[in-house]
Amino acid sequence: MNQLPVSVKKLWRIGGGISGGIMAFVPAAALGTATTVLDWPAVMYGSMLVPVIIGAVVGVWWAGVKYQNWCWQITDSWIEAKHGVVGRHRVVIPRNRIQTVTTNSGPIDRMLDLETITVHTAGAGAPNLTIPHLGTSTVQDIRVALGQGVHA
Amino acid sequence: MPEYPFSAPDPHEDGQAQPETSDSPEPPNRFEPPGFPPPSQPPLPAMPPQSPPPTSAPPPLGVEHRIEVRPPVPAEPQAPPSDTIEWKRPHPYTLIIEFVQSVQQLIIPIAFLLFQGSGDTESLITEVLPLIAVITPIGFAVARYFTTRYALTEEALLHQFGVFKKNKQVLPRRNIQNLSTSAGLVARATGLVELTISDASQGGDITLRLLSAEDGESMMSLLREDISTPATTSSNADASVSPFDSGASGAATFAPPSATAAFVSDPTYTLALSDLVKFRTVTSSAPVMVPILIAAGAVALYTVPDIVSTDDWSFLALLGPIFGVVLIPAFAPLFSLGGFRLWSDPDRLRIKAGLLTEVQLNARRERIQLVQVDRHVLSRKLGIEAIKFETADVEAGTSHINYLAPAVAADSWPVFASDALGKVELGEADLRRVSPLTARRSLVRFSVGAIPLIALFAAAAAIAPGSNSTVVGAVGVVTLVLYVMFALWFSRRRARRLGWAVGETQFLFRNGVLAEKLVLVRKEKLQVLRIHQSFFQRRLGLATLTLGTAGLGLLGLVSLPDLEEATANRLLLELAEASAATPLARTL
Repeated sequence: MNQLPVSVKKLWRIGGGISGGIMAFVPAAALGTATTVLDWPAVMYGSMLVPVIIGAVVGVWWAGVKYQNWCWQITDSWIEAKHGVVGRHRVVIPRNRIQTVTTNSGPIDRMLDLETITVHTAGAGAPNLTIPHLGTSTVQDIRVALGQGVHA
Repeated sequence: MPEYPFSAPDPHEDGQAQPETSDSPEPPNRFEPPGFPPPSQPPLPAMPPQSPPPTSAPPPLGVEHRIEVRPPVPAEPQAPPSDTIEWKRPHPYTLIIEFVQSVQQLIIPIAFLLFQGSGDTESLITEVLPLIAVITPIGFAVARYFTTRYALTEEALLHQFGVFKKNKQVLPRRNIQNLSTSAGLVARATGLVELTISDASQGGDITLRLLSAEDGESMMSLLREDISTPATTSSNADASVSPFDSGASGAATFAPPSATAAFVSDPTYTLALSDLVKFRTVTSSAPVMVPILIAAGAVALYTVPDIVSTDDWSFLALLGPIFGVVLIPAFAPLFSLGGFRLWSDPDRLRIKAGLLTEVQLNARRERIQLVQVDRHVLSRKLGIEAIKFETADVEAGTSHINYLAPAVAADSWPVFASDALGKVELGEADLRRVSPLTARRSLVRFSVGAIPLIALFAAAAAIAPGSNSTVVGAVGVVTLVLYVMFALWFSRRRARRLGWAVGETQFLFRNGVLAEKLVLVRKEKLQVLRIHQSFFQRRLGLATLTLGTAGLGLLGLVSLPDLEEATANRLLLELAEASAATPLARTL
């Protein structure tokens, strides 16, 4: 099984820290409102930072756990991905069932030379397999490998 | 298959090579992860006879020329010269349909013109405007009719239409995958049909609106022969094998249908509308929702008696829409499924259905992905079940009449399944139960569901005045006892009914408790396989196996919950290997 590039861990940790901090704005705002309404000491306004910091730390930790639980592989017969922290997912697509392989990369992905690859199969109800934030050269190699699968 | 290293050490953190982010020059395709196949190249296809190269300017020096060897691609059929094509127009009654559609599309400007023309002031404009309002849709209808024409050549079906924007459609006959007809009330009264011809793409359909019965039938019979010939995408399949022969992998596969396939005249199944009424009555939400609505109304009356005056029972009018919401979805399918007939032709299943608008569907057998039997705990008491199918055809896959039999005698599904998928290897007696822990998981869910129920009755008892609170409390206790009894029955039945069986070429499983689904799928039809474990499933060592086929409807993705984790992983790999051993062309 292959793990995602190390740079993904940094990317996810930054994103997790930011989103965790933003989500903690709600309890922080509640704390500030309570300080105003209940006429608590002004120093309590400083405590608004506590949930934000906790949220950011949890977000960074969660991103690391999420990274550790993401892996994928290509065998002679299929492409496979496993991921998930609370609920776990395992997706297997036989190589000769692949219809289309698409890639996309956002601005940050392009800065870090990363791409997200998605493998599509036939059928409207079939779920696709997406491997996020792989190195560009790895994505190219996968496309070549799966291209052989398409024509098998 | 290596065990999944959820806590595997990061191979890149110790400063080893990081192929994804290295800036150093690297050879192409150097990535070879464990398990990657060796970079072998497939043998090149035989070269087609080469014609002498055209004389052209020599390439500039230093430019490396690569010769691309491609398999010969049959030339796309081109439309023959217009003067040699025998063009036809739709039936003249199409003018009426076009006029109605023009009125619908121009309703706002027409209304504006009529309104402007009805003023008190008499002028030439006010007299002319209503005339324009009437003439415009007629003009559009006539223009549309006379700019629409179609032709069937030896190579392709041609279709031209459009007044301002000219549209030309060329559908190669060898690419035709599905035919369907539709006839509304007016069309049926006049003996006309609307014919839709589909290829594998979603936007490539040609709809010939309102042909005469003779033109429609002759067109259908000609195009059916095209469908009966192997499609270009099935070129890998061996045309000489019988429909249920074994493929190269040993797995049974379908062969392309015979070009001389005949069409049977007598349906193999005709729906009895009374059976459908019974089936829809017991399988809809009505048997559950109606008592619940009545009970909820009774509790509301006891809790807040002042909301209803004893002299005014107009609140009963509210029951109309409520029961309408429950009953209309249950019985609306009677119109679309009434008159259902199934013909079992040598190469396809043919279906006609519809009380008002009759729809005809052709489903080629080799494109049928799975068969699903729908039954309900109450419908089993009546001895009725419904049998559906899923196909990879665009037109048929998204149709609402994807039934082999909307209501048929219970346990007759193997007959229909063998007609659609080949000899049925497995029966319900072969099913192995899923993990018995599924009952415990089900009880946990019911326990969580009991919390709002208890809270609801507690609040109602608190609000209710005087002695009414005692009655509401007693109703709450009785409801809770019934709830617990139902939860125990449901959980035990779930553990008994959920099951699966694997045959040489087929996979059969049963899911659901009240509304039960029995699914039979050929292994080779599987496109994607997925295992999901929720938090509670992980704690109990359970997993849900989801299988995706090339089906285009809701049945394309089917799930079997609460398998033991090891069993789910073993099944996933076994089914994936069977799928991987069959070429794609045989499965679509």
